[in-house]
Amino acid sequence: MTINALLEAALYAAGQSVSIRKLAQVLALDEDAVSQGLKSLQTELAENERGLALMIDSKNAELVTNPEAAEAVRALLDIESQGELSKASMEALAIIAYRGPMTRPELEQIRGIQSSTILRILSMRGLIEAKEEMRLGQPIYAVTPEFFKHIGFTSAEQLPDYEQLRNHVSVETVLQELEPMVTQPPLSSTPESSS
Amino acid sequence: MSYAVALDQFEGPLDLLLQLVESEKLAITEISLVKVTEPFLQYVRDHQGLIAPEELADFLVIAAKLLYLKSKMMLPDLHDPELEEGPDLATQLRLYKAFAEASGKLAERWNEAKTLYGRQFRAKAAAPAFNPPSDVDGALLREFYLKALKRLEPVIALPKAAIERVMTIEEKIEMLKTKVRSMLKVSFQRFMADSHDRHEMVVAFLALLELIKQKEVTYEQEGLFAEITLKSVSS
Repeated sequence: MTINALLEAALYAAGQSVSIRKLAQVLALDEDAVSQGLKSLQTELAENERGLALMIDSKNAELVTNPEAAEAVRALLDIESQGELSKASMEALAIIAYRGPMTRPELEQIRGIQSSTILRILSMRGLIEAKEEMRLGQPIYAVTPEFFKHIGFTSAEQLPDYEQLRNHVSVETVLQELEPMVTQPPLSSTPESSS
Repeated sequence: MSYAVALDQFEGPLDLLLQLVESEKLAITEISLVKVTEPFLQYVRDHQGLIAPEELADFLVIAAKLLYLKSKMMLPDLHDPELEEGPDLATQLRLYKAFAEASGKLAERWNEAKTLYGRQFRAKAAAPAFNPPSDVDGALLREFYLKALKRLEPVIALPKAAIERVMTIEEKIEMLKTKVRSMLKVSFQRFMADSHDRHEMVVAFLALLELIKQKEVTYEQEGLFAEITLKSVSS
């Protein structure tokens, strides 16, 4: 049996998101082989327009239904569609989806406005989550797999113009401004100029 | 809540700025930013009471940057290292625009709701049973609880910080008025020298322009390189 088929069987049986590490363990493969196998299975499912799709993030994979089948699946499982999101929520989500994981000051640097409330709202709706790691003493936020599931993308790379926006020339310029500000000595310690 | 109405219109200072530039059908350049400075200030002035206090400071920072750009066009030698700091406004706005457009595309996608469904019904089917994790002890619980508390800190501290920021703006205007009245003449540089950091400098600059606008003070400048002198109107 091919690795693709094994992975498909394992993920079907699991019925939920499974870590790449766990897959490597149970299939007695190394994690790179699993990652490659997952990529290949993802392509295989997509190219053959199968009813299932494979969702992959950096650490986990999950077998899910094809986005084009959403309406039928919703009807079958009697699930209500989520309501619309406010413009501010969508704006913050877009920035975190393309550029995340990122800290609150980084998000605010791009949006130009304080964003603690919006981060709280998005967290409570399960659209973003704070990661374990911290950067410059700040928690870093990333969009959740559930957000990607809702918009029907199996990985971040499917976001429109992903590469171009993630590495937008201005992003580095704007975000870099944050770093020296944190390490700078207080400005009040410099002698005042008398003119 | 009246402030929500304002926010439906503009999500923040960059959103407002972008809409102003686009309504004039201008490209994002320093020159076009200078052109929309007045309408931007007008909006902030008209909505001062409607913008949430913690957001007002962000509007004022952008306002100060705009005024600085405008002043620089009139006085090419004007250079303030404090106000020069931070990303330049045109770059920041171009970046904001790129993400604003991307968020529009995502919103469409969101509303299409082409959701990927996992087999969540399986999780629900599991019957509740006592199934203790093997590696949990008191120390671990304590560690996680402390972590959770730590994350709360910035959330709690924030509104206070925002209020303090806004208070500085009001205090600064008051301080400036008092100073101008008592000294009758005060140089712009001497006034700015009292600022302790970049934020205060921005606030001071903005407060000053606001006072000139309100005709509380007038300013004099003898020549292009000369110092700017402030005078109280009411005294």
